[in-house]
Amino acid sequence: MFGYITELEYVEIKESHEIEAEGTDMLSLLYHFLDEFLYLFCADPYFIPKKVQITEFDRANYKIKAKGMGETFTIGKHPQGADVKAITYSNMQVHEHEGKCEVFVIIDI
Amino acid sequence: MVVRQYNEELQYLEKISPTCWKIKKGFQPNMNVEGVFYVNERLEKLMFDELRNACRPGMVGGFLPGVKQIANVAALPGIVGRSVGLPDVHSGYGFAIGNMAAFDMNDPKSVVSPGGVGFDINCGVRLLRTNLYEKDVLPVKEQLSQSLFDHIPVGVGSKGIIPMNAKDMEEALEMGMDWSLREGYVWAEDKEHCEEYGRMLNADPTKVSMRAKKRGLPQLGTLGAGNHYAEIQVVDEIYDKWAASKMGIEQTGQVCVMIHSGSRGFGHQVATDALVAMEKAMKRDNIETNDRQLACARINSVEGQDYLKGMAAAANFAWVNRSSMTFLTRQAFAKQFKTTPDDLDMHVIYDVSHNIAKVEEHIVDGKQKTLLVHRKGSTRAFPPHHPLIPVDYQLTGQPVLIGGTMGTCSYVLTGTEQGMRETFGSTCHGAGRALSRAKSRRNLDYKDVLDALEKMGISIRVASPKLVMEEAPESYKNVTDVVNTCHAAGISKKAIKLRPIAVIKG
Repeated sequence: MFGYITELEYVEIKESHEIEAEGTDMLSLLYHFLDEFLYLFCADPYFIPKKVQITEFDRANYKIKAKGMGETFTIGKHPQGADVKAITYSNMQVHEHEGKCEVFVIIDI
Repeated sequence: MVVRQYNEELQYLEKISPTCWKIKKGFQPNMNVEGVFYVNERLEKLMFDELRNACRPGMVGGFLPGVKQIANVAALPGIVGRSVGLPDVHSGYGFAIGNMAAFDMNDPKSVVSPGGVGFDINCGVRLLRTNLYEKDVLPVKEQLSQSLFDHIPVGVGSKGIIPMNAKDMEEALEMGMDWSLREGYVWAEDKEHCEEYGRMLNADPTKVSMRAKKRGLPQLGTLGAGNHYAEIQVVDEIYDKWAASKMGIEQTGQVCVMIHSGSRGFGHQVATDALVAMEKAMKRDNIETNDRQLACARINSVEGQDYLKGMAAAANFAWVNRSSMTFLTRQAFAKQFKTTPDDLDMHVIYDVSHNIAKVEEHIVDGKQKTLLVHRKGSTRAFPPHHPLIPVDYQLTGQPVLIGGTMGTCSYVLTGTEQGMRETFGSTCHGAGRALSRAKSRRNLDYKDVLDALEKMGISIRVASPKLVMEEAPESYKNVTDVVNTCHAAGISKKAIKLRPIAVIKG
């Protein structure tokens, strides 16, 4: 998603921000996880993460905590890409196989 | 989604006129009414290709085809008439884009769905006229394009230059274009030529989350990215001389400015918040839909009412946004031609909303009914004599502004009686995508797209040049096919064709 908003090779790791998300099932958890990061970009601190580290993941209660590492979006330094409006549930899918997980999310741009 | 073979799917589709197909009940589960979509031969092929693609075995991920989405909408509680796909229909989220549906306000089961409005609430098109002709602008075209690009903030992460604080924002959300007028950004007569006079009265900023306001504040007066643009256009052809003259368009070559933008992050957040709130309300009220993105709530529920009030605030935000850019456009032109916007006759011809839900009166089965009409990627097109259209257009019908894609023409249509009967006074909104963005990226090169525009004599200023292939004419349906289908089907009537000479976009 952030690779679509800008080009990540221009983003340096200067600061980090943490998010917490909760859901009622795996899909809503994925939705809120992405939405929290999108919001960090859309308003103050206008934060673009280059790396994301999941710090806590409670599968039973659908709770997640994560840390994004990156910097503030600056026109001139970071190329302007797509404007992501929202995360959507449209045809959202999570496929878990042993040791590997595939997710499909459509974002509105 | 019901998975069947493509041939079995076709059993549910029936051609009922040269430009219209019916989607029968059973195509998707629980359809309350039938669906319908308007296409000509070329658009028909695109529709059916989309469906065939989705029927391929082993298809996972990706979009639901537009026809399926029209049918899913037909399964929503309280829908009346038919779920309508306009000629530019393509796959969206929940509702298809180019999809309209009306719900009976007096049926307690009826719903409002944020998916039927879209994330960009009150995204719309505004057209300004000038008394300049192409020959006046051509010598200074590059300077004028650059000046517009410098005046209007564009692209992701850009911030508005109209001074605003949190209190101004609250007032703007409540007052819409009345705020712009009070602050001196627009002319009194601009309001006359907007749907709802640029202000939805039921807007309630207290029903809007802090998040939405925080996203919205820095973005007021910005164009955005994606398919949003400001274009300098010239009148290429006049089909209806009388209607055109009512709009102040005298002859070909006359210069206009088209602004296509919406409610930015503010509207996106209002929609996101409502979808989350409604998911819970659906469980409580036992409302089932065929697609999770079709989250909805009863119109009379707290969630439904809160959404409508928040949506109205977002609609006001969008009008203020387009008004702020109107102000900046007028400034850019006045500076370039060393005169005033008044002397350039830069009036608003009209301003349409193509992502919105409105309460309207319509005739259903011979009876007058109060309906909540959802238009997603669909433009209101009221016929002559309708009480809700401005006095200047009482005899011509409402002007309908159809923005083309970058480098292609745009159209002005007028509303018709037949459209009022068949599609609840609705028509298309633009070209509609033909290729997905990913496919455009794979198949097209941005340098070729920019070169092609240059060869056509179109100046372009764009914040993200590497994304222009997604907006290239090849990525869209042919807007002329779309408009001709609306004209042939009688749901709106062609008045003016415009072609771009300069494009400013995100």
